Amino acid sequence: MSDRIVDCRGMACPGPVITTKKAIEETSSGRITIIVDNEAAKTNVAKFAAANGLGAGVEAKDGQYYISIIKGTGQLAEADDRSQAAIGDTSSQVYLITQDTLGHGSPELGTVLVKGFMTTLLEVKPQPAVILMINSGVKLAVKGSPVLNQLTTLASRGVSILSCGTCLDYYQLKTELAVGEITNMYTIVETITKHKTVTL
Amino acid sequence: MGPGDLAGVLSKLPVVQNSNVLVGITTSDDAGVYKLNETTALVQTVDFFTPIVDDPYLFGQIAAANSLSDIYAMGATPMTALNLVEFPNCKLPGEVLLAILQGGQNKVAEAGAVIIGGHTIDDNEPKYGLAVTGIVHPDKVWTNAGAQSGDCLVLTKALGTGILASAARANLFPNGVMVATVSMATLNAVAAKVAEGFTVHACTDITGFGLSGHVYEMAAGSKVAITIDSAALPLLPDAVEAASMGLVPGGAYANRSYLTTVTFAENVPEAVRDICFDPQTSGGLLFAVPAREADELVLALHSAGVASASKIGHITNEGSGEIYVR
Amino acid sequence: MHQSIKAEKVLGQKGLDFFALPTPREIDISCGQCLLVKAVQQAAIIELFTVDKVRWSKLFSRTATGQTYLYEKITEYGGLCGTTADN
Repeated sequence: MSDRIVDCRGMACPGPVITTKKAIEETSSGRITIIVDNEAAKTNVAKFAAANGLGAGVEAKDGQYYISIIKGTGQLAEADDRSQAAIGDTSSQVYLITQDTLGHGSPELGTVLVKGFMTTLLEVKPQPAVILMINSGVKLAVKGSPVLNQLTTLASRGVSILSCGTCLDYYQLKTELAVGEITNMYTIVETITKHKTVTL
Repeated sequence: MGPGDLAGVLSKLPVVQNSNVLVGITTSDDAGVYKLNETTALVQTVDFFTPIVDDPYLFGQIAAANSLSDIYAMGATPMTALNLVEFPNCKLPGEVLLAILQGGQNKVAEAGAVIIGGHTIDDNEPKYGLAVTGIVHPDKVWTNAGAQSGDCLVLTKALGTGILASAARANLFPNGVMVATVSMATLNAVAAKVAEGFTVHACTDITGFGLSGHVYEMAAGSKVAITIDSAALPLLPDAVEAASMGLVPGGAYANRSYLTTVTFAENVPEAVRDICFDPQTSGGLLFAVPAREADELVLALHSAGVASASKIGHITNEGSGEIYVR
Repeated sequence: MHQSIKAEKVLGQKGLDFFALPTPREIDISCGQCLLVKAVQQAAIIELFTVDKVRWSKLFSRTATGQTYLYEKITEYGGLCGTTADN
């Protein structure tokens, strides 16, 4: 998700609101952080966000206010742009991987199956748009994963590989992420709602 | 300057006693009144500020109307005025200054008064206004401190000029900005004339302190509590939407933190609250009249062309400046 | 993450209302989980966390604004997860 910082310190009103308006219009998706140096400007920018149906998070630090506004679906919109550019032929197929093995029964077999699946996925046309990993599924995206090579190749082709941050945290694997990016429940829900999704 | 800061500074000045001063610095009224003889009192006021619209001629008109307003708010008639001009000679062409002064002069002429002098100095940004002198009968002065329990409040112009001035700078809400500009350039002369036929207990004009601020001055000066009906407030078009979007001037927040005796009913929307604190430029007159005369006054104002005149609240009981907006 | 689970246990034991949800994207903290609690119980909950050694990172107030919410940081503490107090 792209981050954009907009410094409105020292601006006379309604400078901060005008600048925020422009930044929001120019950003298709991502987080915009506006910095102001007085409370009136903070309140005005927060009002502007609300009037445009955008939530805002505010933190005060040393007499300055940092207002964070999120626009768009974040990672997915970016993934679409990137995949289109790289391949020109991506579907909007999404895979939701809920564990680090495929199928129920023997875990040993499950590992074999997931390796096979990922390898086959490399041949599928068009390539999927996004692969989401949750729960033990995130283990597939970290160092030492049995399918790291496949995922890395898919990523280089513009497929978005997204692993749930909460899950990585739980397994204490955040620092071991080896392919793709960290995502959150909002993006996951938005993604599977908007696209055809296969859950594994 | 914030109201709190100004009050702090003024309180350090010694109060001078003079029996001819009918209205002086000690009460926060719109103009000073000095008795000359049994039939005539002199009324003096001064005001100037930086441009709130782009067009210099309109700026001159608005600044002049704003300065003259305080004379009308005392129930007086303007006679003479002096130009007060700050102008960046190096940065702006002389035509701009000419347009400002022309606007001012035409507005003063419209008021039946005359500009008899003035002063110009160089400054970083342009500022314009007038020092105005008027006359009134000593027994007919309208102060802002005579409101009584049971009186109704009548406001003659719509609110939201500060918010729309912000909108103008953001190039938004052109319709609201245009209506606001016309409203600001309108003299309070007609409204004052109409009200002379009624029993005015108190009068003030709504300017930089916002509606809440000037209502507070009236309430505190008259030692009463006042209730305002937010649904009855005349609002300039687009003002609510512009306020919701955050086009609220810093002055509104300054007024809000200073006016601690103003409370709101839960259902009053945030944007309307912002408008209540919004600093006005060349706003309308606010009259406190006996309840039985209020509706007639509003009708008379409408007939005279003061279309936005509205009954906006009433004096509830004795108090010390409590304002409740519902 | 683990602190979040611990926090839930602690609040549950004391019968305090809470709602676990993914951290809103407008809030910038490293943890993906946060707890929504009642504003009036805010002080009591912070104290409870201190006593039971639940580490949390930031406390935000949440105010509904039309279609969305405004989150304003109230205070900070060393730790992992955030909590938000509903207004």
